Amino acid sequence: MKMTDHILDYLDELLRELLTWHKNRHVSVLVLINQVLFTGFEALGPVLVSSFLLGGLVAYTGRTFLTDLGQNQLIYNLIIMAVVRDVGPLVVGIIILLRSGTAITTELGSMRINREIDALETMGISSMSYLVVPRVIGMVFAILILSAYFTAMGLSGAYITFFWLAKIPFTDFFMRLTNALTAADLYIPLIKAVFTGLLIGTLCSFHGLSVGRAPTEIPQRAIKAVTQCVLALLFLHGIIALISFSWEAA
Amino acid sequence: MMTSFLRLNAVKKSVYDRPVLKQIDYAFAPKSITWIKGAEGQGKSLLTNLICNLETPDEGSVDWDECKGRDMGVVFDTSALISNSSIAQNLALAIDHYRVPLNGKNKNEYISELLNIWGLPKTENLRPVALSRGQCVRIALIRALIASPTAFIWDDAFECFAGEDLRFVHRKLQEAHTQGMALILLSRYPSIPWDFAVNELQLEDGRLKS
Repeated sequence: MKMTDHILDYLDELLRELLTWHKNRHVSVLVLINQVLFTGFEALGPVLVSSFLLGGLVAYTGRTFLTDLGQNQLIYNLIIMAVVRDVGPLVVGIIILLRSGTAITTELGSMRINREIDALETMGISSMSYLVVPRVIGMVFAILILSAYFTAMGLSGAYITFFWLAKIPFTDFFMRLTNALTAADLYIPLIKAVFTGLLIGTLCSFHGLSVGRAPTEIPQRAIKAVTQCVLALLFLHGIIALISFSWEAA
Repeated sequence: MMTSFLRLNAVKKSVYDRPVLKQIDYAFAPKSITWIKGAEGQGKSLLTNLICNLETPDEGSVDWDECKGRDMGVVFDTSALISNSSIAQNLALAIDHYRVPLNGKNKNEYISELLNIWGLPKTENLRPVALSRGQCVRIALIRALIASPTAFIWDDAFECFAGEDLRFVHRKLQEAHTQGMALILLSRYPSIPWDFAVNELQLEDGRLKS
């Protein structure tokens, strides 16, 4: 069974297929739609609940803590930092990794064991083009959609907490929040979402296709995929945050 | 020199350091029927993988005709249908990929007609898991034959068919062969009677014997 053993060879092949995918889209567009639906809409429940709780929690603890420090005016910056810019995109990434990333690894692993991938290859259908590229693109789109929902719900959680604590009117909350927003607070989460989707889609599919002949390899590969993705996500988000803060400080 | 669309040249292949195929030399003639018989563990599936370029030989080579390339339809020892797609989607994938002419019909009509011909009416929207093994192999056969390839390769040929089902599938392969398709069939059992000449080979001790 032929496999791409090294992640760099895999990335090279993936990049080539990404560039030429439009030529094969007539056979794999359905896979792309299914991936967006599975990741972007069916994961909506856990994403909305976690974002609402995060927004509420940050608003509650932040308001209490900053009031004690006499820095109450910074609460909106804290909410933006937590919900919109830094913690939110990471939480979305981890939820999607646990839900859809593991699904990609185990599904591709099962397809390898059941010889479905062999069947595609003998038909002349590249598994990279048919299975991986639509999943990676779908993952990027889905995370962009979910990030938007996460932000909206997280801010709703924060507003409801403020209203519950101090009866702050919505227009007041909205004006103060938009005044605290900068352009970077809008494009940094977008950059993070795109790279998060690429990272989860690529690593999880790599481990799925690396399954050999034994079914016992599927959970082993899923564990490896999750561990590596979590570390890579923390590293990626840390690097982007570092660069963006340095950029803004300069 | 005999013309061939596929040639196995001194092919050797080991699995976990155990030599399975020790010296395979054979040239498959176009429009021929080749029945390769071999007991369990003699390397039929390994030979199928090598022919299909899913594995590379340790030594020797598998050479397809340069003009036609690897134009083949394959059925493995499992049906290998895409399990999270419906039967119609499995067949539509092959139709779209090979750009099969639909003779003026729309794709759904064409698939329904194929399924009716193969004795599987109203299975379009089912997943492979809802069908029996024999039914899944029939779908795999439709998928493999749909674009009329130069060669059709079947590992564990006919093994899940008996009685009328076996006669039906046998008849369909005879029809495909009549249209010029070469058949390479690997099985544990001796060949069943064909209306055409059959090259019967025995895979034994890592070698192909006439």
